[in-house]
Amino acid sequence: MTDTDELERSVIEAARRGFAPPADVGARVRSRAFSAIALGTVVPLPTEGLLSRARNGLLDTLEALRAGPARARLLMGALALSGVGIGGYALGLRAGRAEAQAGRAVVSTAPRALPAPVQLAASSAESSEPLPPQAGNAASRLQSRAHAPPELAANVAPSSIPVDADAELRALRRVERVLREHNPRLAVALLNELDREVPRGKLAEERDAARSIAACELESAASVTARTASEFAERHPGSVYLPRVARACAPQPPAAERNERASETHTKQ
Amino acid sequence: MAWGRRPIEALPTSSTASLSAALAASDSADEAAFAALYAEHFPFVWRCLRGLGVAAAALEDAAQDVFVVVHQRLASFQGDSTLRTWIFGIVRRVAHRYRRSAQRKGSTAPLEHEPVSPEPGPLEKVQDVQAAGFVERFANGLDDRKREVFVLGILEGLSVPEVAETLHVPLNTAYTRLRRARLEFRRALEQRAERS
Repeated sequence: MTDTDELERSVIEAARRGFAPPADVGARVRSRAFSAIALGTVVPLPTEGLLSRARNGLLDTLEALRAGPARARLLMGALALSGVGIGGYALGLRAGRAEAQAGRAVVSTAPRALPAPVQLAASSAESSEPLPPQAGNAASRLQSRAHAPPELAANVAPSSIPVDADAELRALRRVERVLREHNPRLAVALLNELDREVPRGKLAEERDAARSIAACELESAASVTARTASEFAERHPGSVYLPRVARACAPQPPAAERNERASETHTKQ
Repeated sequence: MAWGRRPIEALPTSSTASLSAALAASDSADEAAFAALYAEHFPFVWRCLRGLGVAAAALEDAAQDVFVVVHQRLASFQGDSTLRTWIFGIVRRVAHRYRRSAQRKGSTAPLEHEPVSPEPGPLEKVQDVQAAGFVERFANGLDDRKREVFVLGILEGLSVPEVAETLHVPLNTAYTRLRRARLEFRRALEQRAERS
């Protein structure tokens, strides 16, 4: 091994050690990634442009030619150059399509948009009470409740949420699951339980997002849901959950109007 | 008040407690498997993101995005390549997005990182941080294609066939790029030695 080899090896080894993530970052990113997964976050990935793919195809081919013997390089270069541009473009087109399909596949794994809340006949005395507008946004109102309603608290196993980060994540997964099952009341109960068991967890933003979504599911007044969404946006301006909260809190047209639109669409078809 | 389709009152009293337990049980197996994958590959993902020029402030977000995408696409992993090279395919695209986003925002700040451990430490640690800074500046000076080969072939020590497979380039192309990247790296090392 030459001195240069040795120097290169030692610098690379030192750089690898220097590149290692700080001790606490692994756990932090893990918590954030897992909760983003649990909440169905979709990460868009860029697709390379076709022209840049064609250019890369051309450059790759030229590099391969240059790597060969000089004579072969000249001959193959002369023969291949005319076709390389078109070939490179065709390959780029194909790869671009494949990537676009992959992109669609990712999008298709996105969580279902929460449907409009279904107006049921009053299921309980509490459910039929209109929310006072002065009570502030639904999320903070729900947060201010120290405990879940008695009937909910009785239904949630108090010992089901141990006090650690993994447990916090598992609890949030359950919240997500019940939200997808369109059961915002249970979601709120679970969140309240979590707040009691783990008052200062690491996933405050995720909790807030889930609570805002649940609150908007439970609330019918457009002004209140809009406020819930805007206050969430103020608290977490760069949050990846903003679109989902906005979708859950978007005003829903009245049922009659929805039915009318549906019948119009059906008639057009 | 608007209600969900399945209000809590619709469930038997005992079912919600068992619901919690059942959901926890079904989640735990998947979560454990993914946690193992995360533990194994997180340092690799982190190093590659740094090597590929993701800014220090965005590293955690980028690493998070990588694992979210890995989770989303894991079902489509066919085993044609190693899991590590498959993950790198995601890393390079996430890194590309972050670099492009930084450029679009007009960030003219250099991509080099602050030392990870700014506090004074043992000599070896300082040397590691200095070496990481040097390698990072060098990698940031390369074009995208050479940088990827450098990160995989030199920094991560993958074999050339693995590099070729990961980057979807012919074997000869990978050899050529690697040779050039190594030459440039050695030249940079020599210059550094001369300066010091």
